[in-house]
Amino acid sequence: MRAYSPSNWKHTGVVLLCLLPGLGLIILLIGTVISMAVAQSVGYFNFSGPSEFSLIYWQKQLASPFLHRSVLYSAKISLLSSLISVGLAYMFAMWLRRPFPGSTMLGGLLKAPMMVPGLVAAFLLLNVIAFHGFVNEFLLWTNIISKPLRMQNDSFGTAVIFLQVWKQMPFALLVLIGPVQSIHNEIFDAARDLGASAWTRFRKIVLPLTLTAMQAALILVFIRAAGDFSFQVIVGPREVSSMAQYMYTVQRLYGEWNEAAVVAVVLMTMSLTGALLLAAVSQFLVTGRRR
Amino acid sequence: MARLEIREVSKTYPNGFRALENVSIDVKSGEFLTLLGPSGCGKTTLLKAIAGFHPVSSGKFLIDGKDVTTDSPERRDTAMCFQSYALFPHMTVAENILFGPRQNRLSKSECDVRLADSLRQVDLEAHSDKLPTALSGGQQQRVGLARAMAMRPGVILFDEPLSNLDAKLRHQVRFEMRALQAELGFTAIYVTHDQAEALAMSDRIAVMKAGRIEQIAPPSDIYDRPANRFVADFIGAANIISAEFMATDTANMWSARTEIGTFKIASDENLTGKKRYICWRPESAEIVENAPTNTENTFTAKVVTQAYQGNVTDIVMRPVTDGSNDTVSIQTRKPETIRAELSIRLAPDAFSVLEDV
Repeated sequence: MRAYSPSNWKHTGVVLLCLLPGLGLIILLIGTVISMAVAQSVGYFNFSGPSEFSLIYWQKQLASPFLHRSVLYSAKISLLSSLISVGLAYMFAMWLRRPFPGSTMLGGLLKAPMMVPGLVAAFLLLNVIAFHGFVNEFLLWTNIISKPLRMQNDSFGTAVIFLQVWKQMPFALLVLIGPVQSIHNEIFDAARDLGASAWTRFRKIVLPLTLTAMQAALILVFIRAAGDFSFQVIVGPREVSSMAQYMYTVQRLYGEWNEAAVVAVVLMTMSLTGALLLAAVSQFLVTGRRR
Repeated sequence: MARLEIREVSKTYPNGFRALENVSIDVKSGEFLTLLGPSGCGKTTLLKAIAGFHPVSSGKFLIDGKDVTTDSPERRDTAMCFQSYALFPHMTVAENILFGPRQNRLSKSECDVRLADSLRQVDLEAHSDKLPTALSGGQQQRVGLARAMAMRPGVILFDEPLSNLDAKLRHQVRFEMRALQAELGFTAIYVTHDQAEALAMSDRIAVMKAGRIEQIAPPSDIYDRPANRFVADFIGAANIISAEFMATDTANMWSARTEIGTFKIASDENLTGKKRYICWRPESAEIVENAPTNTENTFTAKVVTQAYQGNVTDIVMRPVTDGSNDTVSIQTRKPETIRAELSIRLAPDAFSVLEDV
C-alpha cells in the first residue's frame, strides 16, 4: 500500500481547490436541489407537519392513477418530440451541409424559435388553432368546413408536440449541424460511388458518424420536453396533466409539498431513465445492426 | 476492364467559368491514362464528371459504347480512389471493402471471395479487422484501391491518390499501383499534378491547361516531343527560345537562326521561312572541351549558378553571344566552376519545334 505523504495531501488539496469553482458550483446548484426534493419526498422539510422520515407520500402518489397517467403522457410527449425534433434537425442539417446562396440566412431563421419564450409561442399557436383562430376562420371562409374544428387542447397532445418540435428542433439542429458538416464531402461521394442511395448514405454514414451528437440532441430535447409546463397549460389536453403541471397541481391546489416532491423525483427519474434509454436504443440501432 | 470515350465534353459553371472545353479522349480498355496539369486546369473536374459527380454542360461519356452521361455515379461502371482516401472511419478495413459489393446485394459467398481477393491484391490480409485510423497513409491508400477494385468496375478513377503520402512512400506506392494495374488489367484514369508520377505510371498522358487538352501522347513523346511551350515547360525543365528557319540542303535537317547562334535542327515538318519556338532539355546539352570557334550546333555560355542534386548538377548559364539577360539550363554529372566559359553542343535531334512565334 502506497503511503500518503504530506506533499501528496498538498497536491490533492490544490487539485480539489482548482476543481472547486466548477465542481463546487455544480454540487451546490444541482446537488442541493435534488437532495432537497428527495428529502422532502420522504418527509423532511415538511411545511405543514412534522419533519420526519416517512414513505407515506410515496405510497399515496404511487397509488394515484393521475401520476401514472401523467408519467405515460409526459413520456409520450417527450419521446415523440425528441424523435421528431431530431429527425427534422437531421433533415435541415443535411440540407444546410453545403453552403448555397441564402443558406446562412435560412440557418439563422431556423434557429429563431429558440429566442421566442415558450409561453409566447404557445399563445401565438393558440391564435392560429383556436376555435376562432386563423385556420378555422380561413377554412370557414373558403367553405371547406361548415363549423370550426377543435384543434386546441386535443386529447392526444398534438398541439403540445407541435410546439415542442417548433421550439426544440432549432436546439437539436444546433447540436447536429457541426458534426454533419464535419463529414468530408469525399466520404459522401465515395459512398455514392459505391452504390449507396441517399437513404443508405444517411443510415450507414451520417448516423454512425454523428451518433454522439444525435444522442446528445435526443437526451437534451427529451429532458426539456419532459419538464414542459407552459405549452401544456395553454394548448395541452384537459383530461391529462403533464408531470410538471401535475406537480404544480398537487402543491398548489392540495398544498401537498411532500407529495409534489415525490412527483418531482419521479419526473427527474423519468427524464434520466428516458434519456438514457433513448441513447442506448439509438446506439444499438445505429451500431448494433451495422454488421 | 472497359473502354471509355470522352466526346467533346464541356462544363461551364453558372458564373460563366468554363472548367472544360471540348475535351475528347478515347481511353482503350486496360489503358493507364493520366490527366496532368497545374491546379485549376480542370483535370479533377473531368475526373468527377466521368464518375458522375459533376454534370457536364455538353458532350458525352461512353463506357464500352454505352452512353452514361446522364447516369448517376452509383449506376456507372466506375469506381473512384479519392485524394483524401475517403475511407469510412467507423468501419473496419473489411467493412470498407465490402461496402460496395453489399450495396450491389451480392451473395455472401461472392462478397467473401471479393474481400479475400482485394485484401490479397493489396497485401492487407493481416489488417482486415482494423479501423482505417490504425493504418499508415500508404496502407489507407491501398484500402481505398481495394475498395474500388472490389466493385470490379470497368474503369477506376484516381484523384491524386498519392498526394498525401511522403516522398518515399509515394515512390513505392506508385510502382505498386502500376504493377497492380498491369496485373489486373483494369482501365485507369489517373489525375495528378506531379509530372514524375505521370511519366512513371502512364501508358498515355493528357496534359491539360484551362479546361483544354494541350497534348495527349505516351510519356516519352510528351517529354521528347512536346506540342507547345506550355507542355515543354510544364513537363520537366526546358530551354525555350525563338528561331527563324532558313532553307535546308539536306532532307529533314533545317538551319535555324536563334539569339544564341545558328543550329541544325532535325524535323519532318516543312519549316522554310517560319519563325517558331524551339526547345531542348537541359540533359541533352553536352559540354565540349576545347571546341574550335564556330563549331556546328555549339554555343559558348558562362556558368552563373549551379545546384548539386547528387546524381546530377543543374547549371544555369548565360550565353556569351546573347545580348539579353536570358539564361539557359544544362545538366552535368559534376559541378563546374562559377563564371567558367563552356562550349555547349546540342545534337540536331535534341530540339523540339514548337508553335509559331
